[in-house]
Amino acid sequence: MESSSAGEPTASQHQAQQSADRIRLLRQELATPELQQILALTPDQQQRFDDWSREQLARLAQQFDVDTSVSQKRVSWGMRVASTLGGIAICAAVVLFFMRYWGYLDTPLQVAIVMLVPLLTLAGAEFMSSRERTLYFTGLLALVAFASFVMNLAVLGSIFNINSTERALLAWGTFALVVAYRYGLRLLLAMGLLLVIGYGAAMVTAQFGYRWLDFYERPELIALLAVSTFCIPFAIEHRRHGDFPAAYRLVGTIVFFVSVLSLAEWGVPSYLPFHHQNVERLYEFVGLLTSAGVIWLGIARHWNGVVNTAATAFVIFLLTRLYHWWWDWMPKYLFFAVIGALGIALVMTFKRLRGRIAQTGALA
Amino acid sequence: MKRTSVLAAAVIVLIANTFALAHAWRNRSGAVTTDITLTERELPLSYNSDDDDSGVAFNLRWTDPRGFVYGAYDPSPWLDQNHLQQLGFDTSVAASDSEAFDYYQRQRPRLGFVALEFDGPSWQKWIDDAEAQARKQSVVAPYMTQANQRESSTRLIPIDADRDPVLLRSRHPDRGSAIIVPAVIHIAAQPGNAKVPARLLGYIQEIPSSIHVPRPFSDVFQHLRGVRNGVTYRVHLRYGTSLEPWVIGVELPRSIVN
Repeated sequence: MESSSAGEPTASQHQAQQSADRIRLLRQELATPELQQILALTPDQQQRFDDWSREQLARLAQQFDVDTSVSQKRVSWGMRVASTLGGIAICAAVVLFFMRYWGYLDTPLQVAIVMLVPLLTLAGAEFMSSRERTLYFTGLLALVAFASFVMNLAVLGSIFNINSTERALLAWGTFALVVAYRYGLRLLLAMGLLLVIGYGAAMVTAQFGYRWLDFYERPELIALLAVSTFCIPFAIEHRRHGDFPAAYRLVGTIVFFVSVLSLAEWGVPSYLPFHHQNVERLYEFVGLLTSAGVIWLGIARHWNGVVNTAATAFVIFLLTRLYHWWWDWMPKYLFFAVIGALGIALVMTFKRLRGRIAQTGALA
Repeated sequence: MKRTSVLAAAVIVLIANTFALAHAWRNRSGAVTTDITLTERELPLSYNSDDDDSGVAFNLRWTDPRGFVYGAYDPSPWLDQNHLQQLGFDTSVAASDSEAFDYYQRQRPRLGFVALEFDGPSWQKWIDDAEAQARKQSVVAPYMTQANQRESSTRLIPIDADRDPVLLRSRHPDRGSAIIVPAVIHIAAQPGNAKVPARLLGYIQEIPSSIHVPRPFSDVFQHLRGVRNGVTYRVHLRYGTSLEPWVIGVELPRSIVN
């Protein structure tokens, strides 16, 4: 089975969709009078192109269930949103239903139920994956399996009064990653990556004799793990899941900038042996420089998600820096006027950058 | 081979469950580290805001009269610099140092173990002091009435801490009156004043408190939902090798059971 789930196409399906989009656009362009004058296809050529493009679209639609029209694409988006929201709602329903009645059950039955639910929903996801090509229901069931597994360990911990441990994060994260790779689910991949990053930080925290739940109190460690996550696609090639590297980069970028931003706002948790105010200033500049660097990297490598995230982070770092500099002594109207002027300057800079990229692209 | 990954996911579920169950079994089948009977004062029922959660749990309630807030006025708090050093805190900067506040603020809470004494001399002293204080207050402000703490407050008081639970148990060997539990402990520098010099103080930030009540013990509490106030009971509790508790008996007044 090549493709995947809850609105998240796998690489092959992704590529098939791109191919179908190109053919559809080519058909539209060739139908315009302007292009018809320039290309001036003979009736025979036109007929052959029509037959070929129709055949290609039909084949792609049959093989990968891709959208061959704009209307179909819109409906597919709706289905993705509905299946994701439905999955989340079913997760909540399963957990709340169990919580509503578990107090009336004996311990062995409680244990059996919480252990079987993730296994059964996983089996359900596997069964559905063999029945559908778009895997909307598979993704939905995989999400429920993940939530059930989270409930499973949480309930066992509660029943046996087990002191909480960071190893649960590893179990949940690994499960999410395995299921994500099985069905090509980017949502579960992102959850799995976040859990594994959390586990890495919590494990180090626990090793040094601290409470693992305080793992977020050392953002530098989390930032380091985020950079590692960002770099994973360089080391591991994703042939089957061509859309996964973007998810790795996005998770890495977001977690990194959130960590740096937290240090820029509150420097006390830093490992650095400086006064917390110096740490905060340092991380403000680190945030500005790295976000500018990541924007450049994203543009150079055509990573749209990374560019957008880094641009947002850059604006936030810039605003917080300006806030710390000017808010107290500058009249408020002037502060916002300066921010507005900076916004316009940024738009103009991006516009020039865009123009330069377009020029380079045209020359290439 | 096609289904390897889905089997791997199932194996993760099974392994995680096996680990959790083996851990619970090891805790309960090994040596009993504490065997104690507490009452509703130390183990009130956890508050459930609605009927969406049918589980029943006790909440281990303890009081720390020499904790951070009150300890500031205590001439000799037990969780002192020596204890804190032993727990792994870096106490190299003197409490009187101008950098001490920042330095200790940056130290994260550490995991350790504390001994909670039940209805012992510490509680007796605390309740005597509290009542003496209340009497003084009633002279100054007679309109302020104090609740009868001697009859209602928890009698669990932390009395000692260590990094090693075995050492802690050896110092407090009575398994029927002292509970050894894991705890999260925080350090802080207290500036000096006219009465006490600058010093390092520790305080207990957290002790695992939720204790699940299994069937059949939970049945009677299910029926008492909504009328929990004023219900008295005694709970027989054990702690195992992992210092995790479990309920082995609940005694309620005959009128409630019937």
